[in-house]
Amino acid sequence: MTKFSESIIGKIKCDHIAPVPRWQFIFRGYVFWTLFFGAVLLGSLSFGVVVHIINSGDLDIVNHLHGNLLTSTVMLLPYIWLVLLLIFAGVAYANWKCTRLGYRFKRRWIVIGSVALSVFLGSVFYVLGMAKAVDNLMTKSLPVYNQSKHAALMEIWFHPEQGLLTGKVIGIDENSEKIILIDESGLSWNVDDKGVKWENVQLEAKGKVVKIIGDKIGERDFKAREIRKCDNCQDDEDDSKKKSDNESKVHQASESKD
Amino acid sequence: MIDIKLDKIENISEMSDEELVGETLKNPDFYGFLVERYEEKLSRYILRISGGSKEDVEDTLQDVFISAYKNLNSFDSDLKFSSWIYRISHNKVISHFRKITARPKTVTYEGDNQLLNILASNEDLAKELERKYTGEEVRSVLNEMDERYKEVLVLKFLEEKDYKEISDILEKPMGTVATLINRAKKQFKEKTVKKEIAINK
Repeated sequence: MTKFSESIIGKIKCDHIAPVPRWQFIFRGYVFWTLFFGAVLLGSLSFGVVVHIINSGDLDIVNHLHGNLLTSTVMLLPYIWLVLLLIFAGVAYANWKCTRLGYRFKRRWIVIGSVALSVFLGSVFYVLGMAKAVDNLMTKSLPVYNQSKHAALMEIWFHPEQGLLTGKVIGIDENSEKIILIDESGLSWNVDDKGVKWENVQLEAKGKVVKIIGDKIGERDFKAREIRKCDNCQDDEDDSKKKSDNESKVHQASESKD
Repeated sequence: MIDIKLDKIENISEMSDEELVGETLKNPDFYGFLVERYEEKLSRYILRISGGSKEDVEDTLQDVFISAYKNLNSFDSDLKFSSWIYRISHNKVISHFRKITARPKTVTYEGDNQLLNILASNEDLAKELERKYTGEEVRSVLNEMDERYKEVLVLKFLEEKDYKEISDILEKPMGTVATLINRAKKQFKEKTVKKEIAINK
């Protein structure tokens, strides 16, 4: 043995240096892989929600909006989810690089791979209805998320001059058979729904928030061509009524059990 | 005091590095043989890429072996042990020398001029340079190069590592290693030409 190798062995023995246990490396490996798959999974959910929101049917109103197609389309995009998708792709990339063989792949392939995996799994989640469930859950549990969705709804759907109107149904005028709607600023509108091809009576119930495509025909008069349901909209009394009904049912059931 | 049975010592030269790692985990004395195998190679490698003084190189080398010992359980049999320990050396050099921005001293190893021979193989101009340059001059050209280019040239042509090994040592994809080597060769030639012009002036 050389002097140097003996000095190394001497130092190891003197300082009581011991190899770090194997389980610690294995554990670290698992942590990185778990974070990688967690990030891909969350990225997939983000992508699924992006598809769900875009596919909710509002993209077809682009031609009602002023400005060019690109501006209008960009306005309809769910930024929060796109940003989350990018963040999770970044986290997935960082974790992949930390795995044992992560360095063997070029950066672009790792990024493309993790985004592609998110797109694939996100599409599966969308088809399975998980994206909608996540969107609903976020709407109900995060006030900020709900507010931003509401702001986006107003931004897109409250342009009476351009044939887009949204508001809460407060009643039906029996004489004129028109829906009476109250908008965000508290002004009421008379909406003629005779031109609606597929009438959905449930949609026109009192307390419902609806989205209407049509034409403004007077100061507070609107002629509807299409009336759409507003999923998870703020102030939708019908939704909150259902929710409180369900809660009271649960309450009653638990009381009867007792 | 080294505590290894005599019959084992006779077989040590036939044992692979990976087998020695296994034995070291049972008995730390075996680690001395691994140190012995790599002491000279790593000392030369550290000197070539860091350009530090002999003392600095020795300190770094000691750190490399201690760190490798501590992390022996993370050694992955998919890699060659040599690639793994070169990787540790590469990382230690980055943390030691680049922190203090130590610049090269005049220490060189005989054989550094072989880099010029290899790079020069197909070019008349370089063949001419090959005759004029000493190992020390090659080292001075190397030290003027970008760190990433210098290191791939050292690994490929002086340490004689293949692409896969360089990829494992530097933790970069093989495609990136190939690109780096091509660019490094180009930069090395440009620098030698410039040096030649300066000498002639």
